[in-house]
Amino acid sequence: MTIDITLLPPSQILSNHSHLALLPSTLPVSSSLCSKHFKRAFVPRPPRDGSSPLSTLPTEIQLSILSHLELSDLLSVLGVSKTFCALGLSPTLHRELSLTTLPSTILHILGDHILPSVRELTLNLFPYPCGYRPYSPHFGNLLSPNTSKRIKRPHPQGRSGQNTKEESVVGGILRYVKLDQLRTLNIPFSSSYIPLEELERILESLGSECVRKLDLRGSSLSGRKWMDSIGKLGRLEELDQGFTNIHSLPSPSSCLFGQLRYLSLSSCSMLLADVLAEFIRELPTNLERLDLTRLDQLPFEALWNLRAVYENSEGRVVPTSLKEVRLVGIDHLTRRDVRGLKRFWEGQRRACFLLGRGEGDWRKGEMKTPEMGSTSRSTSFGSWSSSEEEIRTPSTSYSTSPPQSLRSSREGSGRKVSLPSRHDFLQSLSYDSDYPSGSPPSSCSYRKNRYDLTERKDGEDDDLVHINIIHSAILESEDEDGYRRFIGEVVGGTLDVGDAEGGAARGYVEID
Amino acid sequence: MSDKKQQVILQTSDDEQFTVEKIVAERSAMIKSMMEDLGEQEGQAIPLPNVSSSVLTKILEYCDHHKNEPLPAADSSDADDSRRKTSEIGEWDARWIQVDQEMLFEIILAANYLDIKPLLDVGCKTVANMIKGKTPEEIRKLFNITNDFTPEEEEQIRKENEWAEE
Repeated sequence: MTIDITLLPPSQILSNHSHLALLPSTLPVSSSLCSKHFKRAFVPRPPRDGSSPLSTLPTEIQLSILSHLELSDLLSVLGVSKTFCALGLSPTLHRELSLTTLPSTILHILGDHILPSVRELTLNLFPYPCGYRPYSPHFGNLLSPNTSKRIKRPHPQGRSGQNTKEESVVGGILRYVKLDQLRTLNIPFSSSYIPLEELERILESLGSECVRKLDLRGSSLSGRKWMDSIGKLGRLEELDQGFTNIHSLPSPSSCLFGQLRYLSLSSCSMLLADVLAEFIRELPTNLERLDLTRLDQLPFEALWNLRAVYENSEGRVVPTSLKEVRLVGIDHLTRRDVRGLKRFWEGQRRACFLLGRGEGDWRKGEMKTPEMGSTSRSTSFGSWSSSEEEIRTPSTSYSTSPPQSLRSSREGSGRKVSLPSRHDFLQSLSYDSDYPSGSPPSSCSYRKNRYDLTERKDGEDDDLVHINIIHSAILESEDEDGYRRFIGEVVGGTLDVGDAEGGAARGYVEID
Repeated sequence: MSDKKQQVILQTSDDEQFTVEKIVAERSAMIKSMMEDLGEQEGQAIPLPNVSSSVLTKILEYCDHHKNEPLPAADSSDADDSRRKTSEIGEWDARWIQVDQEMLFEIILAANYLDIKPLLDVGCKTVANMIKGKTPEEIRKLFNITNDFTPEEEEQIRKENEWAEE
């Protein structure tokens, strides 16, 4: 069996788990206008006889050549000749547009030809658009006259007609874009320059039949109302809602989830634990990838209840489409937890194939059993503080951890009392390999009573069974103290803290 | 299989005949479908009236080098998007295509006619790379294009595009 649990390397632990940096330090650098940096290309001389083979190529080939150019180079081509100008304005060349700065003026070419052709728009203006200066309480209004009024009052009292609509810096450019025909709209980290009201208007203008992908990371969507703007986009396939202050999640039956395959709720710190728990329990069955990065408030038992199988319209229990769950930067998750989750989720999926092979039908009431089982146990994993409690956490009580693994994790918790050293830490990393991957996945009594969950080797349904968990849990068993100590290890290793003092202080830094 | 390599005869516009391995010739979707239509007629030459022998020699060199790679899917229009923005050309291809402009454009035309998608792609990317980073005047010079704009029109376009240089 292939283990598809993805453990992010420890070198990223500070960025994954640090509670200081809430925004990612590096945003993808979009380079729509920086094609000036390229390798010296091979440039053959022009034909001596003065002929122009490029001009005489069939239009379709010329277009194919121009399709490899970035916008800045296309703009140069427009200035070459009338023929090339017409060619360079072909709508097919301008389906995608990615801007990191906003044009100060929009003239004929941009406004009438390029922007109306755009179907996939990315405005990556983080932290704020060029030339945009936020209102300063000390110096008053620093904005240019035509934008000042708009930004000073981001939430005007009601709308009073078309002409007085408040508009932010992006309003100028969006006016030319056919919003109702966009397939993709990426406006990451826009909350500093697109006020909520305008964003809602933009989202309302999108065509619910067209739009497939929305990147609204760090937008000003918040609270409960955000679902009104998005809920009707029934063809949406990808939605990134991370880094927003949303409070609620749409119900799984919402039309939003009709086609949705990817959802990111990364760092949505205002989502309460029970909202998340309910969502995960009733997870939309189409979803393939779910990003729960940094949702520290998410309790472990909620993950336990994640919907991995469901009853389809024919009354058969089948796996959901879920293939990948991202659980990066959730401090309380340990590697044991992650393995336990994977085994549990995949166990449920395997079970429904076994049942499908003639062990009778599994009616709805029985399908609830795993959930009931886990909720009844949930009382035992309220606390994470003492290592004794930890032995009773679901991952250990539920799995048939071989003695070797149990012993080593006990050693691990024992070792926590002693002073940490890098050597111990490396050892704790290697425990994973002690664990035989092919062992029977479960010994849970309530499941074993019903069916035998032996590992199936014939891989034909493997694609339907597997769920990859991407996580950054480094420690085998981890409590708050262990986490602190681990961070100490990493920081100590990086900064060489206390190395000279030897044993007592080595690598231990108090992180608050 | 390998001891009995199947051969194909190709006949160029200047009436030269090339005998090549079938696997090499099949890089061209056009030749491939023609062979399928004609069936196994030993010794019959496939006429390529749009390709000269010098260009075909060059192209066969490319086909021979890539003969063991999987053929692109017949309908690869979806893949176009992902390929488009990456102007990376393989190392061997980049060296292979260092030819004069006349030959470069003949290769592109022949690749289009013979329906060798990856080769057409290499050709188009090469020309695109020649255009990159150049001013309109430099582009005109490089490709012998006459400027048919009036000075006013030219100034207008320059103004329109000022925003990109900000």
